[in-house]
Amino acid sequence: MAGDIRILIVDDDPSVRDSLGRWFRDEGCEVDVAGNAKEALRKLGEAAWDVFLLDIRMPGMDGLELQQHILAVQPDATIIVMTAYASVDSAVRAMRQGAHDYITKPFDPDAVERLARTAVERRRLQRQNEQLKRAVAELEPEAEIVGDSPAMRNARRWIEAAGSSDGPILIVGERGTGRETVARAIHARSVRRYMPFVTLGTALAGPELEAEMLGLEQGPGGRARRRGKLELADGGTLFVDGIAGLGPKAQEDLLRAVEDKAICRLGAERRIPVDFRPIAAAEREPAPGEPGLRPELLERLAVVTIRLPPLRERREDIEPLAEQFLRRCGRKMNRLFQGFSSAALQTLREAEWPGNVRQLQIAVERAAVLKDGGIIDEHDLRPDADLGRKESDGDPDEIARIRGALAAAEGNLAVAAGILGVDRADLFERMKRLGVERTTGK
Amino acid sequence: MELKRGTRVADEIIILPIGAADPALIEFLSLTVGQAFGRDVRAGWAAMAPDFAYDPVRRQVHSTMLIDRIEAMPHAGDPKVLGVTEADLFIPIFTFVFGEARLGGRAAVMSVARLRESHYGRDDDPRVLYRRAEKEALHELGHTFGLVHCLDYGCVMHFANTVEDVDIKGDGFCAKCERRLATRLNPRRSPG
Ligand SMILES: [Zn+2]
Ligand SMILES: [Zn+2]
Repeated sequence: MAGDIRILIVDDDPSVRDSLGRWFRDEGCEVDVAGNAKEALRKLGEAAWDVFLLDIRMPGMDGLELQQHILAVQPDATIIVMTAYASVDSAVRAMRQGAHDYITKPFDPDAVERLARTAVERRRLQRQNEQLKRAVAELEPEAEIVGDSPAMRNARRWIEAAGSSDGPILIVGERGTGRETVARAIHARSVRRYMPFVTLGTALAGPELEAEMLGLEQGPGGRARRRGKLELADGGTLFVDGIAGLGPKAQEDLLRAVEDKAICRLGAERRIPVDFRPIAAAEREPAPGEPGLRPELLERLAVVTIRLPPLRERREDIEPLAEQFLRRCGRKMNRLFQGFSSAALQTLREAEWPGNVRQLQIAVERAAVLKDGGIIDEHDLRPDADLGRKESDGDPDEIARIRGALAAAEGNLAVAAGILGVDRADLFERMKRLGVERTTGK
Repeated sequence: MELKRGTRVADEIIILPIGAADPALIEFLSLTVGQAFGRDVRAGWAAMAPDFAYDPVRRQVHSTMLIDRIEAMPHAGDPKVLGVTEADLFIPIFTFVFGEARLGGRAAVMSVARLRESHYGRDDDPRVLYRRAEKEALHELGHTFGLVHCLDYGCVMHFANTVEDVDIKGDGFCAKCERRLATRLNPRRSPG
């Protein structure tokens, strides 16, 4: 990606040359090194370089003098000088004479990361637009937004439109309708695609939630500072799931961040600029003047509302969705499925699906893991299967469920986690806590 | 996903604890990181103590020395080896690193010291540690398969040097890195 960015590192210390060289090679750059100014000048004569990293103090010609030579030959060169803490003054002098930036040794990875960004990514950015267009074209349709029903077609139109705009969005849908998937789809289609997608859950409350949102200037016990979700989302998308569950203080914090485009970490005075696109989600449409929800915030966030219909209101989508889940599952497990029997399809179509698409997916996956392939029949299905969450500790059923999933998955942790609807780390932690051994497959 | 039959032993990934390591974490990584690369993973229990690379002044372990030692170890075939240590790692020019890898090479190392919640004065949560460690393991191993850093925050090859960044980046390879990975993996695979 950055293979055409060429960096020359000049330092008399081989460990600096090696480590920095490796760093920028990891960034995808082409790197060469020189142990002194003379060698550097020779390399300058042989080829063009985009970025120079120069040690200020070198025996013979020092970095400041070398910088003058480079700028004489290549006035547009990006030069970064490297210096020990003691000689920051000379770095400042180098900057005055045309250096782009300086870093002090030993380098903080943050500082080098910043350098890599400014010196290298500036060039990448020019190509980003093109990459972006390609990346958007490559996106697979997400499972939850599959379907040909009028309600779903309408929702998809909104998602496409939201992707090409940059305004706030409110997503309204029951649990399991894919609110987060839709938010991610919008993010992936937006100009913010390469920047972070940050989810703010509402499991926390009070001061903990506030710290989660705004960050802490100084962590507990004087430990490292911590950046909050609003700051982390800078440049990207902040997804707030369950907007109505946010307390009044959190709503105010969020509103202020959206309006001011800045936040203050807890315990800090300094304002940090943040620019994120808010996408909020709610289980049902908030009424104007709804108690517990600040009207200004709702006004800010609900500029465009995307409504995700419950599965029972678009039953015509059940069959294509189920087929898709089965195909995907078969691919994952290396099994060949021919589809569903007509009785099975009827069961699927008639079920209520209070957990919506997510519940349908789990029902199909559970049926599939217990079959070696062929046709999924009515008795293979348990459409009333729960969503596999909210299992309480020490529930004897839980151990059996985990064992069953592991057996069906032939010991494959990722597949078993998929069946149970939890993530791998979650499943593994439960196995350890409950003393469930993984039985290896064939 | 079943690992492809016919995966040669030579192509495996070895998770190598360096010094005292949390066996549950090693087991978790052994169970999860192979999938993305289509390779078998095993925990290598050949003991390797980090002492020789310990810098008493910095009170950290020099990660490049660990990598050199791993590369020099005799291995059957051509495995990738990921060293996992509780020690805080550095390379001379940096205050610390989460990990280091030899681009396109055999060896990588990662430290879990700064992945633990307790490092930041919070209560430890094994699930949080597992998630972070899995991302870092995939990232460093990605380097050994020739992948470089990726701009996409959704991609595990995105550079992160704070836990917050590790937490918000994705836990898989983006389409672009996936493709690049496939071209590196496939020429080596003998048919059948
Ligand atoms: Zn890296
Ligand atoms: Zn990537």
